[in-house]
Amino acid sequence: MREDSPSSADRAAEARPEIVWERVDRRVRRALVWSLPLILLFALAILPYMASAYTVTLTFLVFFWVATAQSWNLFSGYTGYVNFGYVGLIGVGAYTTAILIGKFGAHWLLAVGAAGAVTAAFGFLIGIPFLRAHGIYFAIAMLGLAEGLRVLFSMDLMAPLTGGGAGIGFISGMSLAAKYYAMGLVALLSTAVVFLVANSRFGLQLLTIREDELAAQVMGINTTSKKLMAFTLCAFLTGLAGGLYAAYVNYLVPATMFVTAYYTLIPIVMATFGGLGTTMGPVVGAVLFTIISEAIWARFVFLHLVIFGAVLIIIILFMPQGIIPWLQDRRILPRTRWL
Amino acid sequence: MEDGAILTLERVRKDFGGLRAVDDCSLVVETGKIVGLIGPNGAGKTTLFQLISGVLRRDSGHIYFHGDDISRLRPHEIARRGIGRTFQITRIFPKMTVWENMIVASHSAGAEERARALLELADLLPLKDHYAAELSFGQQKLLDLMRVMMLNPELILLDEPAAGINPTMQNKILDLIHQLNKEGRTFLIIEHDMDIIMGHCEKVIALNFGRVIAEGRPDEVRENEEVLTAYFGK
Repeated sequence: MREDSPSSADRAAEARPEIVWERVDRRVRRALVWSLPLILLFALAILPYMASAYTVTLTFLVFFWVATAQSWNLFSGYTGYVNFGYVGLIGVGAYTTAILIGKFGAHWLLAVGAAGAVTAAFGFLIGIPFLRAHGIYFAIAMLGLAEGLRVLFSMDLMAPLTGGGAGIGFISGMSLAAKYYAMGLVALLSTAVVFLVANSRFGLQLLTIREDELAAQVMGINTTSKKLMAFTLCAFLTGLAGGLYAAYVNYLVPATMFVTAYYTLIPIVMATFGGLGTTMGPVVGAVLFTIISEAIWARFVFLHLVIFGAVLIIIILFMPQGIIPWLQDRRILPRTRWL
Repeated sequence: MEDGAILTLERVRKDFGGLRAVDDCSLVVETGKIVGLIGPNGAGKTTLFQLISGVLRRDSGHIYFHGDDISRLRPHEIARRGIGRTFQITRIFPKMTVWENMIVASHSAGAEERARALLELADLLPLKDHYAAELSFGQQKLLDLMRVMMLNPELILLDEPAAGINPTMQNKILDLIHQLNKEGRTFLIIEHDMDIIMGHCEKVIALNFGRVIAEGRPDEVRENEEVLTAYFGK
């Protein structure tokens, strides 16, 4: 038996230390909350006119990682269903764009939009059987799916469409700036969607699946349909990001497009590093991850992967829950679904 | 169908491999009562709860709620019809705040006022922004009970609501059950503490080997030969 007295609730509430962020003057806080994102957006908007092609490309890639880490987070971070076949969704989106532009001469805008729609439909259809599996079984099933897709897109049978193992090349007709802005919008859209979901009833319902799916069901939540909705939404956003990514690569080969160790693991690591099931975690994770990896890469050309791995291990050991929840647990940032 | 019955089980059966956990069990829970469900370990009490709440599907037989057969419905559908349940081990959502735990369990308008009123009733309102995991064990049990009430259920199945907590908290939970019962809600409670069963239930159903071996007023059931045998042997 444990100690409980009727008034312990009040005492516990009073005993909590104040949150650092809330000690800041209210007006300063409001100014920061509104001005920081605007300054950031403005800086990113004028970047292509000010910076080198290298910086613009690097930022484009950060956008891609923000969009994918965020999409992965939207489904897996909130429901706790670890998607190890995420690269499959990116691949479907990328190939949709490549085929529409390369084989049918579609405009990139149409091709990328179609990539979102096709990937969403694909996610919906595979979600129906796959989401019946729980925990590790779902993760393994998704891993198998991604592998199956790689084989499917390599097959000679599919060659007229996908180019088979030799791949498919095309010219997107997009300037670097167009790619940059388009991917920036997808990253922004993904973050906005996660923000809206996180602060909605739907978002809370997704969290109950992560917390305890059975308890969620007996609380009247149709977890099957909520999972499917989140998975489809994740697939849609991933399709857009994958479609635009194809325009950046300009040449798709199954052997390099369906690399689990890259396109699945990096979004997972970024989202986890920033904080799963948070709104800003994947953004923070993607940005810091890129900065750290670039910094190490530039200094230790030959050892950068070893050092990068070591840095990741140290970070995970010290803040396994991710940056945003780590700051919240230390009462530096408030515990709100806004973050 | 008995008049005034909120829940009726008709020859409900559930096998786990070779083990018959619930064996053609028939019972009736009358509207507005607090009914105790007792029986030795392995008697099938919790399995019965799993079947009623739809977490497990019965192999044969029927479960009627207000005269409608609910034995084929899924857990969330049963919950929305007005059957709430708690688990033996509390299953609150640990990394969600107390407030979120409450709000998310409501499916009708007025969730906020309801959550506020219920938390107030359980003295949990000051803790509403804490993660449920940060509450004491007793407070978690209280939250579990209050969260079920967000469904606005007519029938509430409680699996050992008073187990493992100190007497003060126990009394608080029992008081709340009586208070909610006065609003017209029916309770079916699994409990091992005979004092609680005797003192708080109007009717007791005793289960052994998946069958009802006795039912009636608490003092009658306590004297029942079969019940005594089931608990203490011959």
